[in-house]
Amino acid sequence: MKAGYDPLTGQPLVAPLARNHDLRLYFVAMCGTVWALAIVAQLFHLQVLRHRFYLKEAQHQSDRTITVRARRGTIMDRNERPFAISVDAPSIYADPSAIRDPRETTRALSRALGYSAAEQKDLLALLRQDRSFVWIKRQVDPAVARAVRDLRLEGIGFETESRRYYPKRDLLSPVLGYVGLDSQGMAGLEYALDEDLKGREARVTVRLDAKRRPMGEVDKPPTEGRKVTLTIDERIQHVTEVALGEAIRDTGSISGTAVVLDPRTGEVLAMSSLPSFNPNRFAAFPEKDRVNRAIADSYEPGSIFKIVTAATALKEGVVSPLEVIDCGNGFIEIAGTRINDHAVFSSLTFQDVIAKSSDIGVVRVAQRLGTEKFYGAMKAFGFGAKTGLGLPGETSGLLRNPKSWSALSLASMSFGQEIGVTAIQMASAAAVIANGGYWMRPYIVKRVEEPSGELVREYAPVAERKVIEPETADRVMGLLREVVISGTGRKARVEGFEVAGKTGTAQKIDASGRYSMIDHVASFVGFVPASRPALVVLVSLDTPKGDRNEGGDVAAPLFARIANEAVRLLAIPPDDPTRNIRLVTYSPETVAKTTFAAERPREAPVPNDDPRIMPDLRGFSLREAALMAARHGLSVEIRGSGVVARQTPLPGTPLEPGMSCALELSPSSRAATGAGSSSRSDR
Amino acid sequence: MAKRLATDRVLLGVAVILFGAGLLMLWSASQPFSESGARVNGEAIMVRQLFWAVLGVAVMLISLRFDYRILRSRYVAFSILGLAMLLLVGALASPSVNETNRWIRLGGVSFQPSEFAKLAIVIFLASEFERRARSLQTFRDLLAPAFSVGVVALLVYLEPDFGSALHIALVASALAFLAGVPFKLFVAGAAVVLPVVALGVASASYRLERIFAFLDPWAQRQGGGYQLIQSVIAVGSGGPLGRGFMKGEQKTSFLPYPYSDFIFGVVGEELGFIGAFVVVGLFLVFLWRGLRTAQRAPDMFGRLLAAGLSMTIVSQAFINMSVVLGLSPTKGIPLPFFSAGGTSLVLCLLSVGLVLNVSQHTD
Repeated sequence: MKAGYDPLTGQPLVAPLARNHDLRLYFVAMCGTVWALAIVAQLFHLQVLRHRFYLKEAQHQSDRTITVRARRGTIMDRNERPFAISVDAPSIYADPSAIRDPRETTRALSRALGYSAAEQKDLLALLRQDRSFVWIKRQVDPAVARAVRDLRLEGIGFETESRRYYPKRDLLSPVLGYVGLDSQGMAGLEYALDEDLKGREARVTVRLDAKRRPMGEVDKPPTEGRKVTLTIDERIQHVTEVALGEAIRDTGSISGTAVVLDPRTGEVLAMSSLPSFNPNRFAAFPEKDRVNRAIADSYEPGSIFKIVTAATALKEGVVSPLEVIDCGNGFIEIAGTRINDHAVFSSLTFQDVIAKSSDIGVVRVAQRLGTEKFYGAMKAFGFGAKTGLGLPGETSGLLRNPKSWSALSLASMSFGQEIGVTAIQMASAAAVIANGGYWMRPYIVKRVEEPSGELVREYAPVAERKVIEPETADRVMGLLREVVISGTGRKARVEGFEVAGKTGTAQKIDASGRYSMIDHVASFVGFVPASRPALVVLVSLDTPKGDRNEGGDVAAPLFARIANEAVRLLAIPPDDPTRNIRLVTYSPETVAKTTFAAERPREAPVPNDDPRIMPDLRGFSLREAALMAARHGLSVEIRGSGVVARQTPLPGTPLEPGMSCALELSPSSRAATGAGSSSRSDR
Repeated sequence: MAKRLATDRVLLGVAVILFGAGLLMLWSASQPFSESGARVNGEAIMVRQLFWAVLGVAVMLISLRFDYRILRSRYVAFSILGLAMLLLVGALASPSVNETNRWIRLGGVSFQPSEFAKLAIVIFLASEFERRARSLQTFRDLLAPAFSVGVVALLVYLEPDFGSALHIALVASALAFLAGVPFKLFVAGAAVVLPVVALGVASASYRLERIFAFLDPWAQRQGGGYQLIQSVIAVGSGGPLGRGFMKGEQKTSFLPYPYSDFIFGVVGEELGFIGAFVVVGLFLVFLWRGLRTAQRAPDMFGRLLAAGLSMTIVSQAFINMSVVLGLSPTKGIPLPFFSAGGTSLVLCLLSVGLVLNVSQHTD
């Protein structure tokens, strides 16, 4: 130990460094060594003893099986027009554990997403969660996603999800239903066919980084849901919804339904329930408007049900059309209860009973039938049971067993009370008359295909049972024609076509439980063309207002409007023989030699805007004709100059993809085919 | 009489190796962030670190050139301590980054006052304890230095940087121990300080969560235990020999902050047990040579300075490793020489310079 002075500062050197102090240094050194040994021991433990475990953990967490959700299949109409498609939409998620500054991230995100202060607060809470994956916003617009991507925020990721999109918005929505955020069908066909539409989820093993993003490219197997083709014709659906919507508005009705069926097959061509909703944002609409009333609402049909009574009576031979029925001067008393007719008739032929819709007349005929036969017939016509057309939420309506009928029941049912039916049941029952006696199971899905085109299922018409003889059907049809010619359904006429049908004005039961004198359901069910029905159209309006609001006043014109447009869209030949057109495909050679002028219909019934049907190009200039042909996807062969004189195929011929047409032009043809002018006026 | 000797070549060698290895590992660890899309730019990290490295070497060379004893004067020591406090207050007054106030930004350069505070505390305590060497027997004697340390630690704690505050307290206690403070005072002091520390832990929920996550990390695999599990997986998957330099996989994504607090995870994964063992060993050699320098120092100030600075660096390294290996709860403490961070690197090299300076003198 030396004491001394520092040569630099002149201060005394703190000398005696006690041995004690050296011991303390050793103690510190020992502590450091022990600590180092502990670290090395742990290193040995992790890297040597447990190496394999951690190596497996490392691989396990980066190799992960992820689920690649399939793209939901499309839903098409019968002509391959899309009702529901799937589009790619980016979704934004966050890994809160990788976000260092949640507040700053929230600020930046909120700016890009246009969040309000309240939403910002929620977002901040979300980002502060103790999780490694949270959705920020799903299925955003690509522009928004790009804006967020450009922020280059740490811990924010993107995933492409497929989003359901309904290009036609409200059209057919109660039938189509809608899907949730995870593309799961939640109502309607989307729900019923979820298994087909959603496709297989593919499981792929990929290397993921900590943000659950696949490292490098992932080979996603092409998974797509099946394509569903409906029997619905989008054009008819469109005109039906437009017409029904306007009728509801004009009459101030609460709601309305319309069903268009092909009675020969049971195919549903249109099914409308209004008010409806936009499935793209279904949550914004009330639950009641998302319901498909045509299958889910059961109501008392009223007089249109007389079709069933009449058919059964004619089938059983208890009445003939021209037989005179005592209509009791407007009332009848059964089991002490008086039933009043809507008008006072003393006596009418059975034909007029139906045409003028006399309740008492129908009751009298039904009484001849008796309980069992009438009950059996109603069941045969499909009442009291679901039609099974393949939509969820269908009700079977209400048809009580005769055991629980009162003395009044048979009479009430004969004119459509004490029985609950759905629109689809009623339309299917009416189709029995239209197709000559068969109850065809209605269906709405035509086929289901794999995205590759491979057929999975196809639905064919099912004639479930024979209900009446063709002759009986013809006689009922005769009665129903009379309804439109001279009875309550005169406003159902469609120009150029014979129409048959029946009006209905069904009183609603009011709050007191009695039949209301004011509120009713106005309906009409009809066939067109009556001679060989191609369409059954049922329309009903719930509680129409106004002075003249009975079935014949509001529902019959609605029927007429829908039927009129539908026959034109389907190019159904009119009953009027002067309007007949021939739908024949000629080979070009034959056509070249044929003169058409004489066969030309006076008025072109062929719509020039239907891409599925050959338009009438005659009378058009070469430029105009070529343009129209191109719009129909046709390649054109041209001979001559001037205006189109002859064309192959003929107007109205159904077109196949890739077809070509031959046009022969001549300078004088405009004069020769004067009818061409009517075509031009269509433009 | 004190003689001027050659610098401790072993200490210098160890420091140079650690310095070089640190830069190489940082290059590797920041590599995954060079790709586009990341907010943290790996190349920028590396360029900044190299800039600070050059500056640090210059500072180290300068610190070898003067006699360390100019720091012992009361005025210098108090000035340095005052400067440290001033900078800490400045940091608290600066706009916060990531909800903390750990940095002072001047232009494009950011400075971390808590790193400077550690150095300042060592210089200050060395100076103080030297003057009071003979009278460190009661609490009264320790009151003034303890108060100074307490203020600095409190300021660091307020940033908030609980880990660095604890580290400062640890180094200060070790210095007091080396200065000859009786054992009984430590026992009594611990009885006072430990409840305060416990309160500090409990006062912030995230610290408690870290404790729980430390006790059972696998219970919250995706939550609080995530960082710990990932660093342990990184180290464990390295195995005895490692995946090889630059070949680590965990750093690409799973390992959090591989370029700063968890860089030892990259060392473990890429260099394996052998490499990690060598790094631990180098730090231990550094401690040994530092304490040897202290033992041979001509005066109490040099002794405490050399011991304090080498303890600061090595204890910080060991705390960091303990965190990465799951031996200690997580704290935001960088690994000296390795982690990205200019302040830490420059002051680390300055400390090395000072210790080497002391090693040039002996009695």
